[in-house]
Amino acid sequence: MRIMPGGEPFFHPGGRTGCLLLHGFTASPQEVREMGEHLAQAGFTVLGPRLAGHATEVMDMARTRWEDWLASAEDGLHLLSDCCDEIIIMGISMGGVLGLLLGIEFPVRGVLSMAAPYWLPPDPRLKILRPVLRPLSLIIPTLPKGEGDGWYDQEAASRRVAYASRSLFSVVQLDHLLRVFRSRLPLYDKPLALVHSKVDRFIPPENCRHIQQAVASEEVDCTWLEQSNHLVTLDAERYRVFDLALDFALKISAAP
Amino acid sequence: MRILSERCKPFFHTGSDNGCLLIHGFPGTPHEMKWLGVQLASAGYSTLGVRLFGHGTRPEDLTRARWEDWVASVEDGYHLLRGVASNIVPIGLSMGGMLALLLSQGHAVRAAVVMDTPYQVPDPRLPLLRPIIPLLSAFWKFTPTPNLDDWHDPQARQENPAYERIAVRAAAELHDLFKGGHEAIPEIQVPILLLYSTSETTKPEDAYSFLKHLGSTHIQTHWIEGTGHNLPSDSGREQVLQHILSFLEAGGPKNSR
Repeated sequence: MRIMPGGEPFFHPGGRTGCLLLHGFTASPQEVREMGEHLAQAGFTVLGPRLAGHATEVMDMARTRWEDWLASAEDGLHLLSDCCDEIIIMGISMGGVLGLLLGIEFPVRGVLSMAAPYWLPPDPRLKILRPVLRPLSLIIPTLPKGEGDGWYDQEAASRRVAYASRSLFSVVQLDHLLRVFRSRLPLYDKPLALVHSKVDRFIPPENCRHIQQAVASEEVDCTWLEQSNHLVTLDAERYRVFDLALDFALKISAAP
Repeated sequence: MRILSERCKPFFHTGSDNGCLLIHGFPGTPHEMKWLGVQLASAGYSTLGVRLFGHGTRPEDLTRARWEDWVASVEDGYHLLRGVASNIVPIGLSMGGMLALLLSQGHAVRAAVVMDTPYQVPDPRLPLLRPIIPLLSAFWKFTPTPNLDDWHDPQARQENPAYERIAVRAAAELHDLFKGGHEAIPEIQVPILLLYSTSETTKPEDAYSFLKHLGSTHIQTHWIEGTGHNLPSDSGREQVLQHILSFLEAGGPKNSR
């Protein structure tokens, strides 16, 4: 068995409206599993793919590129499209980035992007190392994450299924993905909902405002959380986020 | 951004509690399993056709693939299909057949279907070259895909998208996957259907080796004539479908175990 226990992708059959749930960088479908269960209970068909290189071993991720992650998200979209008439994409962090990129290309009803980055995290180490990250990744393949603090729900933190370290080559790939994202984002013109915590220590709230300003959508619903760190689908306000996701899905879906 | 072309997309049909997981070969795409998937879906089965990592995009993408990535892609398909079906039968073509057998270890599958899977990696140079391939592939990146013309139905061949060159680095992974398969095969207990073409890609000895080494007591073997290696797409596909349907109904999900 390759996939980490608890990090498996998931599918819930339901109505003609499908929700594609995308997890984030170095994480696993566990990040959006509970949210998927809530949407499924409300009658939506739900699919949460595993992004390539994730939820196995961190060195598997070190071989993948941003195109592989986007291809995995696209796989999920095609599988879900076969079961539904309309699709809504919901993604957390890098999953929000991938969701918006797919939303530009494919006929989806709308996108809910949660805690998504517009720029790389403002880590001071990253600022210095960014130009040499690629050659450095050959010498130092991975670095420990050390992001256990800052959670509002410590128990949720302990349930997390994700890599304990991140590969430097993957950070180079994330940087590349975000460059593509910033250049393509003005092409997004469908309904959009954004959720971000005012106290996100990893991806500061400015990122959310940048996304809001960059898109061409007429209407953008923006919700600010106050009792969550970065991972809003897992942290203390997750039920508020689930309700918000459900309201957004009900609002923009045409099928009964 | 769009990565996958129309014919390289994975596919999913939700039907009954009996699910078929369709696994393509090396270096193929879900398209080669599509016709079979559609037929099994209309017979009532839930069907899911996976896209293996590095396949269906660009030949270069296979350079960074490792066989464990393909195993993980199959596991992805299994977990998604489990959302709708509890009795799962993996059905694989060529390398996909080996992946179907590997999935039956550690996952609840009811049976497995193996189509035209060689027992040994087809290229006899591979075991010898394997240790130096990671180095060698820095200079010798691609080799033409073998047996591209092993087809009887010219239209099916034309419609089938597959890389025309394979990454030499990935050939090493094919070798390792088969090695992993050989270790697993004696442990496998579930009913197995072996379908083989009489084409040049596989030999009768391949089927005999599977018969000899598999731990299963319930194994059916059929030979399909007048078809190439690509059993579920080429001219023998109707016969392939009939064999699979009768296997699924008699020895597969409903009655076995």
